[in-house]
Amino acid sequence: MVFITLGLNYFQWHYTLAYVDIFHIWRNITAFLFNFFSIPILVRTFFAPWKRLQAERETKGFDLIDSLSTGFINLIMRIVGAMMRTVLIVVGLCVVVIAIIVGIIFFILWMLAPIIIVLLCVAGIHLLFQ
Amino acid sequence: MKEEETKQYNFTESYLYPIVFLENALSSYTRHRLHRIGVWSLRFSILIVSAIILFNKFALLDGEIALFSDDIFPKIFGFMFIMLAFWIVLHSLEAFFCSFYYKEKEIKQVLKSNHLPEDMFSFHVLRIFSKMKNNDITKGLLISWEGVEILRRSGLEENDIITFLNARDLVIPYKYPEVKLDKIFTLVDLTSYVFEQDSAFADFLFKRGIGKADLIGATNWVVNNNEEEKNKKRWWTRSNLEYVSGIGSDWSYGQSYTLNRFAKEMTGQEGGAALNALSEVGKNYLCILKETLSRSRESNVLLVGDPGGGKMNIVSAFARDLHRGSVPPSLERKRPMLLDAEFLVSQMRDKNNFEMMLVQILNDAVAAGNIILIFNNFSSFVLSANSVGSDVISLIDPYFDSPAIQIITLSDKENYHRYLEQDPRIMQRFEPIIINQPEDTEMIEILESVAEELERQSGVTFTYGSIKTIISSVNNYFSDPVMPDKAIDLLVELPARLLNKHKLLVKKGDVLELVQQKTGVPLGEIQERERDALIHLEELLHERVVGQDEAITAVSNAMRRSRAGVQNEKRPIGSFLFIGPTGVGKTETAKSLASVFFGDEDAMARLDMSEFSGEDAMHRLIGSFEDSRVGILTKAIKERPYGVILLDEFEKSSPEVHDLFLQILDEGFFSDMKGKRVNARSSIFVATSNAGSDHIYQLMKNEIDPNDASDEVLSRIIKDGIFKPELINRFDAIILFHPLGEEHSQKIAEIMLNRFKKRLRNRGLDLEITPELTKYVAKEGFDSVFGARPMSRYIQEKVEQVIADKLIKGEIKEGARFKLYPHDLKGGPIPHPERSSEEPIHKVGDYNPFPHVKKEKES
Repeated sequence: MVFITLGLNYFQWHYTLAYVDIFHIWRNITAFLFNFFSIPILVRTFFAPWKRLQAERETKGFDLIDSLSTGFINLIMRIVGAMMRTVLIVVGLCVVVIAIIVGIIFFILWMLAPIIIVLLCVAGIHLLFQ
Repeated sequence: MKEEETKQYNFTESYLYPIVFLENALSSYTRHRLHRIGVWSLRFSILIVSAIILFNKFALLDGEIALFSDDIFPKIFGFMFIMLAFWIVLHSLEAFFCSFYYKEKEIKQVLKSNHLPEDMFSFHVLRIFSKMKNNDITKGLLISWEGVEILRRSGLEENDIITFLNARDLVIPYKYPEVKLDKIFTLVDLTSYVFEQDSAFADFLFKRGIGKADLIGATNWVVNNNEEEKNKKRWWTRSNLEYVSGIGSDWSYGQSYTLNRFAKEMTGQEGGAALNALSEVGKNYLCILKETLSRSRESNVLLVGDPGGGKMNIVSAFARDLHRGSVPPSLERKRPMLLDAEFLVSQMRDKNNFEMMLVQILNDAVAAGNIILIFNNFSSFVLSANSVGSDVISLIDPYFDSPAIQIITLSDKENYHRYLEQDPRIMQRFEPIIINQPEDTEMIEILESVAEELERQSGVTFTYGSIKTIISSVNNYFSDPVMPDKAIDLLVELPARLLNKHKLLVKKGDVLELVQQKTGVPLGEIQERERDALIHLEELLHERVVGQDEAITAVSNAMRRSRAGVQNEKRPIGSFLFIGPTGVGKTETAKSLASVFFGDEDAMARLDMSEFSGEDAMHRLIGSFEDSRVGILTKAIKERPYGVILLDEFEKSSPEVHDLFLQILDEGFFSDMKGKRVNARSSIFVATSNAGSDHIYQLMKNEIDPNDASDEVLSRIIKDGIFKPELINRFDAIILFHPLGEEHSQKIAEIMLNRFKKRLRNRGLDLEITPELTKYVAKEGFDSVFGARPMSRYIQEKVEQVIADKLIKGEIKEGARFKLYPHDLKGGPIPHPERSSEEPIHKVGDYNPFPHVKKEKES
């Protein structure tokens, strides 16, 4: 009797509370990956110079050549920064998308888990004793 | 009691029952073992299948075996399928278990509005109830792993529990506890309930020195430990995932090459074992630190606390939180850099180099944009920079206000008050956070965390009693009890000691043994020799002190109370006020106490309190802040925390000094000039006073025992304003010494002559003391006013002189035994003991040691 109650309790949990838990874990992992690849920060600071590396003007007052060369170096630093960030953002987004897809697959597998267990057992016994 | 009567609950109704049932049928341990078997079977199958495929592919197998492989393939797959199904089942069951077990508290909150009384039992309580037989709750608790763990933390071993359970002849079942519908009934409630209901169990624990508070403390520890473990295992929670720091987040901040030469980034792992040791109050300081640093302006912090008081722990915890990202948004991605200021000063030999380098470092930090610069011992840095002629504060001042850099400085209290607090720039730019020493309850929390870390490393187990004893020992037996450092030091030292003795359980006695070794204070079990000394303390004290039976008895009783551990631990071991005329054995009693109780006459520090009557009395006694002079009392206690402090002529010290002793006698500690706590709880204070001597003489003259009229003597002392009544009440005992009579003089002479004889023997002379000599010295050396005091001078000046003369004349030879007779001493005038100017001769009856009191009255 207790076993039947336990089984019923389990199935009730499997198709109710378990989904809530899986959803929470999935959400946590996705958020973690999003932060692990620093996607929000990288987007916010997309055009910031790479590691604050910037050239300073060598002369004081108006000097077109100096201003242009300094501006050019600083532009390069910003472009390098943007390129590096693009790479990391793309990699990060790919991983997040994979995590989302894996999550969806897991949802489906979880739903089918009792059937999968039965099928595996039947197939296993059949193969063992054929 | 019949079973139906005790059955108040239907535990199968509890929402936790399915997982309790699962745990009972298939424990976590078994599930994990089975899971491991499943995983290894799958791996093994995959390996075989892969091997066969590889062999087939490369045609390494001959035809027969290849055929065999065709035959075995389906079987292996069949086995794999079954193992996979088994593995999924185990995982699903584990997930089912975890879903309820890890979220027990959260679910109970959800259920709050709609729940049964059965739902209010925690998982562990429910498990104990479900496995219990014959409604024997005590046994149910004790045989569960939780119960075993609790009793082990209390200092008991499994054998003790078995012995107790076997010895119970009659088991009286008691009802299940009542639960409240708004509070979860935890293991702590259960142990408390069992202790209250089962008197045999309570007695069993009591006999082993475990009280209810100890049992509850140990249970709390087990429960908290279990909660921590649960929390750690939930890697998927948001807070646990925060532990991993992100990549690329610092790309928009600069590098700090110069700064890196002199500073290292704090990771939050610096504290080692003590890392997790932040109590709730420590966490509050951490919150204040975060709040202050996240302010938009002047967000610099000055952490002030005693050395070893946990300042660095707070900074370390802050660094850890920075790495995890659990800080306010304005602090995210900041880098805590600890500047090695001493290295910086030592590398830059002159002022210019030093200043240039410091400015470069600060500019570097500003350029990086995310630096929180940490100066440990900021005041020392300022001072050492001063020594090369640089004014650091002026240099750093412009950076204090910059939003691009934040500064945390640490300082001890003494230097903070002495230097930093005096500087308005510091006080304007920094927000001081004063860190106070943790309370005992917080200390328990801290030490338990550190103990758990040590247990993981060493394999020993600390009992709750050992943790409590560490705290009380540091408070009571160390002269400068800086918490939590001192306590953690003791804790860290214990595992190695225990392992050397092949012991795995750290008990109260082990702590006391270590403390005894470190402080010299005899603690722990009373040894046979010491027991003898305590029992015969009166006789031992009487070997040196003649008469004064009441005084000796009072002192002996106080010492026995202290050693048996029944006295108030938060006061000195003993405090006595000896009142009586001069030369009656007051100082001698204190000396013999030091000798008998502390094994050494030198274990007594004698303070002439008449020296502490002026305006600088307090400075001289506890030290002076202005000239950093250490006080005489501070020094005496620190040098020998376990000994006698003799306060001679106590009445002559100033009223401020009396007030200081009000605190010392009441609380067992005082604060020195640096504001540091000095512990006096291992000392015996003996204050002597001549006050009331005239009255004692009068009483003696009227043939009244002064001890019978002690109230009268004391009220006279209070009336004369010599001591305040509250001070007199603070002493453990006020002991009246009566003047010595002629009957005592012979005994005193005997003691003194024997002491003299011992001294002569060291010089190779053997004096035989005859009764005639003793009688004569007693008669000549005794003074009715000065008691026995002139006798030693008589021996010194008369007897020694005669022996010296005889030696010169050749009448005595070295190594020879000789006698002295009264007629030897009669030759020449007997020197009368000199009287000091402070002690004028008075005849019995008109003696007044406080002429000023009389004078004031007269005026």
